[in-house]
Amino acid sequence: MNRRKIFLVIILCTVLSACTDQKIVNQICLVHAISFDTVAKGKKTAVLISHFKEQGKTDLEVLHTESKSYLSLPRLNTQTNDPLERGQMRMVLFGKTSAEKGIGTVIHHLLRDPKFSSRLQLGVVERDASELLEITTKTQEPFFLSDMIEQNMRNGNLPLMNLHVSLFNYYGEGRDMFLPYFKIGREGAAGSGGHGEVKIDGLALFRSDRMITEISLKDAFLLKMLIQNSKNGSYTVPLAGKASNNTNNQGEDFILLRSMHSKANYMVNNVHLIPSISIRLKLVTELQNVPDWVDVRSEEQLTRLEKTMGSYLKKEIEKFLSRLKENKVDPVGLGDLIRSRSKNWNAQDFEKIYQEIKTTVSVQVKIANTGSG
Amino acid sequence: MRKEFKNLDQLLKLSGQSSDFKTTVISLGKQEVSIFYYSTLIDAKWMQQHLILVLQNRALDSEIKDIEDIKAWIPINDIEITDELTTIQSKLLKGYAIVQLHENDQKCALVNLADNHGMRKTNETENEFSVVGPKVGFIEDLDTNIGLLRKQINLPNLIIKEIIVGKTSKTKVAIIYIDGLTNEQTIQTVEQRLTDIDYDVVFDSSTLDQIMSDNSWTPFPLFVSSERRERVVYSISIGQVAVLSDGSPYCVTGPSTLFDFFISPEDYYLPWILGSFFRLIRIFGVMFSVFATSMYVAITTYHYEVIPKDLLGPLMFSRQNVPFPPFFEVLFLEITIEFLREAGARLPTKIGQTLGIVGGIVIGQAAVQAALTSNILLILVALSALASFTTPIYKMSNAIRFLRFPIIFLSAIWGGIGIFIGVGFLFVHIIRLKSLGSPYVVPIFPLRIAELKDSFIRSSFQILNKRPQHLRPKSSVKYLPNKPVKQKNDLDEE
Amino acid sequence: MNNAVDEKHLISPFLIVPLMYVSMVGVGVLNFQRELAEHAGYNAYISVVIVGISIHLIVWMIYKILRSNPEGLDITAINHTYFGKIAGSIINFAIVLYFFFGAYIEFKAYIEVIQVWMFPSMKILPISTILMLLIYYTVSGGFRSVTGLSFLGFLMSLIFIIPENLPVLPYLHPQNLMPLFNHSASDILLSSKSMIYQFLGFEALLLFYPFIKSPAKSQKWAHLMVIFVTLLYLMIIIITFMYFSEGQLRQISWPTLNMLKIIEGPVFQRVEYLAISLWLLKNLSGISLSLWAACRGMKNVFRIKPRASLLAFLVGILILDYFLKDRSIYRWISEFYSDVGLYFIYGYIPIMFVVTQIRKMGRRIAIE
Repeated sequence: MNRRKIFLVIILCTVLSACTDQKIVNQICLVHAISFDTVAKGKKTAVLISHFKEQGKTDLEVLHTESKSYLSLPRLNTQTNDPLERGQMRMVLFGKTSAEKGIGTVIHHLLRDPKFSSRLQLGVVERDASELLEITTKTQEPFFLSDMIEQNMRNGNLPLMNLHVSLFNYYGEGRDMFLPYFKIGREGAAGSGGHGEVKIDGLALFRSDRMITEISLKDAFLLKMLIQNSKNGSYTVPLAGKASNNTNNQGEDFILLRSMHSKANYMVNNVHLIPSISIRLKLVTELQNVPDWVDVRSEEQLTRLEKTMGSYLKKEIEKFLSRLKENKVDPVGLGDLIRSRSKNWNAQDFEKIYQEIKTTVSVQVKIANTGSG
Repeated sequence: MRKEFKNLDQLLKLSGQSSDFKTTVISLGKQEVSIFYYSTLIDAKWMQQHLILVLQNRALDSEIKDIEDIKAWIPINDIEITDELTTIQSKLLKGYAIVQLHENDQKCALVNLADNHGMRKTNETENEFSVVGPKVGFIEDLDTNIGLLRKQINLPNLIIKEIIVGKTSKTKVAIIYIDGLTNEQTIQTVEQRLTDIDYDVVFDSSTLDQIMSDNSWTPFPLFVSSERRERVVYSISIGQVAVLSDGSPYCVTGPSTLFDFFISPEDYYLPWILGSFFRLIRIFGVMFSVFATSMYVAITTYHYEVIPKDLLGPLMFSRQNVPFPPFFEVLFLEITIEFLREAGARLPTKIGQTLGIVGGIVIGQAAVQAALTSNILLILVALSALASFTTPIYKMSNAIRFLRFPIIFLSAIWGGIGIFIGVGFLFVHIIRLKSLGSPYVVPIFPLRIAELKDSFIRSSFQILNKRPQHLRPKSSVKYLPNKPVKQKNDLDEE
Repeated sequence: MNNAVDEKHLISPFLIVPLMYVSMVGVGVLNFQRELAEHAGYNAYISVVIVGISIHLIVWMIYKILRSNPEGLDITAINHTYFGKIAGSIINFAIVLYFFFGAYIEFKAYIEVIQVWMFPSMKILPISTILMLLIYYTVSGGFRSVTGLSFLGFLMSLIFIIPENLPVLPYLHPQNLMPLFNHSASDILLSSKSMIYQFLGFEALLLFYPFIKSPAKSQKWAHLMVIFVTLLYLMIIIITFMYFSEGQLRQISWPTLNMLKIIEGPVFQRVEYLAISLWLLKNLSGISLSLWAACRGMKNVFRIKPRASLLAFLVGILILDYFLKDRSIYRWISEFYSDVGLYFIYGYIPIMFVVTQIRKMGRRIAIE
């Protein structure tokens, strides 16, 4: 009896004295996206915050601050009535100039802080990253940019990317990070669409924490094919041959293919000294757009098409790989591949020989579906 | 309590102080016979017809020489001739009339004229309703109830032990079990606990259930109390003990487990797949009812990160203008629902229905419009109230309604961890509970895989042919499983 | 020494399953990958297998020791008969302290997870107090309720650990595990040492053995559980290695939780919050088991009422928890604990085993 009373008293006391950090949903200010830019005076941070006013409509607002270092969320708190909270952040943007100077500190912070979601998206913006945030305010959708990237990963040419994948590439030895690359269209050029001015224009390739170069969406498809199943990516292959017959319509000279499935096989041949890698790609496609002179019902023509596409892709991939070597970036993870096949591998040594690695590519294309064309 | 009387006169004198104690003196020729009774306890018409008229008619022919003659004369079975004062006193209070031949006679006849008025003759199971199945329920009269049970358990070894409980009420309480099936230790425990009770008035068998229970520091009912006959018959047939008390239409059965409270007799009347499905729905309903609102509190107060991005907008919007922290918002709505339930239960049916509409629609809608609560929470609270009523046994659904409050409280303090602290306390509590010395959460802990077939789900009758072993019945086989008629349902019967 | 246990307190042999599980899987499951990878890199999964096999041997020895003594005796009573009153009591007291610190370390580690992941500025005292109350409520319910909570913790954590692996699948890089053997045997042994720390706790079997109904039957379950837990650790570590690149893993403090962050459902994202909350039950049952063992030891050695020693232990943990704010001391304690555990498992138990065998032989010779 007495014990029970003591029990209850202790419970009451604990409960009354416990007061943890509450974050009541309507008394916090959610940050959905953040951008980092380098300006003359130092670093500029901008955040995209939301005010939920009406059903289905969200007022978005961008807050700016400039300071010596990144990640000045506490400083931004001076501009809002509710504390800024980063737990629902889905997008981190870097201006191109700041990405070229190195984003290691931000990346490290994103890794250490458990508040950030693993599915957060990172991105590089051609010009000013905060400008991109300003543009997204018009959409009234807090997750516009990250949804855009995710949509393009599922249905387009972008390979699987999110914070986890980027960290994997960034911290992993023998591989380099790549991030989506945003372009802001010239003012007025995009017309009435408002947010039509923003587009994903390819991938930004990094060496360590510095952005080195960017590649087009077309090359992004090649990268996607090299590292994973390229399902739903699309690619245009120019078609030589009868194209000269109707010169007035150049669009007819291209085949638009949509990948249904692809798989890359890597073989490391010579592990010692300078290794050579042979890459065998298998691609199952669907033809989306074919010039009208191609008879899709003819087996013979299709086989020829498969061969043409295969050799074109092989050429393009080889070009792409040599470009990577030129820039000394390794988004494909060739270094990691060689590491897994040899006992004594070391990142510094590999860096020296990276440019000399031989890569041979063979592509096997199969047309599974001729589509409506 | 009771005074000792020296003689009958003294008793009659004392009883005469109450106004409903009547004395009728009828003269039969030379003789004057006195009849004493409580007018409120007897059936006056019955007395007129079967006692007074008969006596007067017989008196025309002969004289009553001895008090024993009355037994032969009067067409009523229950007549006792005695001079024992204690018997006279207690029978008088049960609706017997005293027939005294001569003044100052010590020996007198006790004639049963008791009237069962105030008792229902039949009962439909209104509080434990089921669509399929019999609607026979117990009534307030013990003998009728025992009769009801005997009709379905046609066994000579159905034993009914009557004991008297209650110093003031002297209520007859019957312990019912099947001899040679029910574990003796269980029977002994029940009997001992009931006889050891020192209590004044037994109003309902629910009181007995609390007095008998192993632990009074719990919101959980430790015995199933049911007004349905078939439910009690089932319990007895699997080796449980039933306790009926006079004046109560509820029968207490035990030892019970937590799962017994989520079993509806209907589960056995529907095909087993449906029965299992509905039982799972019920158990899910309980979980939902206990945890839904506390999850809301935890998420909106602490863990905004876990809200998926598609749900973020609607949730943020609905809570936008609510001035209270989620804890008070939830408390406000939960207590409103409790008011509604309590008011609905105390009001006549028709007004209760109206009140439901007023409360549910008007108050809810107005509270949302006045931005006192968010409409997502309104949905959650209404759903969890609904879910709590899926429990077939009313006592258990009350317990479930109570349980959510401490958990909401804990979740308001420690968020998700708080909820699981609550789960921990709850689970350890039910593990420690015992019903008549047998564990309360039995098929789960201690784990009995064989008994899981009638817990979360209700398997087919082919499989359910054994009695649950945790009751330690003396014979475990209920019936031999019948082989289903083998049908060739193959391709065109080959 | 009266060690006989009343029939009604006994548990069925099968229930050793949750007990073994909660004692062998601790908070460590949230971050053991990192420590293991420190030495043996991505070959560390080999050490999980090695340790798993050695634990089998130890469990077999424990059963041998307990079985060759009269029924109903636990390790404290055996110590008394082998080493005499005084030396036996000292050893028994050391065992009690060992379990007490095991409970404390487990508790502290969990509080740390809560602080880092859920409530960075939380006050420690109130939550510790309420958890202590819950432990008190559990342990004071006797061994049966400790088993019950363990059972719940077992179910709850299984619900989580198995499905957590499915959404992770698209992110796995099997290439990470290659090359298969590029670390020396000494590296692998070093990481085995930190793996042993994860398994520590199953020695409670030495104390709860008399509480098992027909204990001989439980041996197969005990071994089965060792296999199961080894496979569980193996699965988690292999998936972790495939999920994180080596450099990334080095930077992450709680890899298992970090892996959960990728899971996203229609009504729930960031499952790690749920997982930490769920883990509470598993963790408390482990602590309860250790404290129960400590109380049982105190009762056998000093005839102290278990309730009194339980209260003392709980208050002790609270005080340690509240006043030991310095992380380095905590780290020192946990390192010391794991060293002691190492000697306990690989030193003390084999010695006891040998002594038991010698005595048995001696008895046989005496009979002849």
